Amino acid sequence: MPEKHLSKQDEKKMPQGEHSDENSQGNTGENAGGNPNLRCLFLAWLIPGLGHLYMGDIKRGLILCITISGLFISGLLIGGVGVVDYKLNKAWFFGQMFNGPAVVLAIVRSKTLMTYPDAPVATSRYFGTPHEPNAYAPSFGRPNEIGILYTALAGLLNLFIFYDVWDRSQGRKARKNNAAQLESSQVNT
Amino acid sequence: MNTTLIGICQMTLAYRPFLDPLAVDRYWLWLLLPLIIAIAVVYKTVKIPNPQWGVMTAQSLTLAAQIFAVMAGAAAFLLFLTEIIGL
Repeated sequence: MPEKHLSKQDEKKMPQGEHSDENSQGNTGENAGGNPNLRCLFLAWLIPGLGHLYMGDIKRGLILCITISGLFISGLLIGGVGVVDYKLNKAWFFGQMFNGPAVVLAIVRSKTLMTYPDAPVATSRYFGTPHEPNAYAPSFGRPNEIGILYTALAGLLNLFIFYDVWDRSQGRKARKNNAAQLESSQVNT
Repeated sequence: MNTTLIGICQMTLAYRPFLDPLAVDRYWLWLLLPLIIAIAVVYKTVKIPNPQWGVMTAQSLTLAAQIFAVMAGAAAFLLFLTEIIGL
């Protein structure tokens, strides 16, 4: 569908019920005052779906929050906290870091759960030895792979959500939907 | 109580959530299904203008099935290349 911006005349032509797409999706950031777009983005990073909840889009926000947080927590349950490791899995951490809790977890893990966080990466001291164990058991093989995949995909899905939050907070998506509705109503008449 | 059940009980009792990895080596492939469903749900939640449970569920399941079919096809093709042709 080609993008089409509504003029004021077009908006006047819209039937009242079709005009309320923005209202049905809650407040966009434009109504919230301050610098709402960045605030929405920060909230979306902090907890997935919180950006949508802040804009008043409750249903969408809850679905995203449950799905993405569930995916992230499942990854941690499968592979343990060791799957979020910015030294060992740098490329995967690039995906994971789009989930705010992942960054917090990585810092907490390295500061509190590791006996020797500054040991050379992938050495026995880094993973923990029977005499100097870390507070968690490192995962290897399939549990590690699946845990990393879950947490990284949760982060990358949240990146997708960032774009949507930005789009909605700018009110672009509502305008696109209104334009599409206007086109369809014109075709029908 | 048979030995498998005892083994599962022991494994569950020893498991510390978030600190220990789960023993998923035998059924790891099944764990791709929730991943596919999560991707489909997130995509459709963002794309559908006014999300309603019935429409959301139907469209998400359709997309998940499509992703699964493509993955299964890719797996079959790779299996053909590596096991049958022997590349």
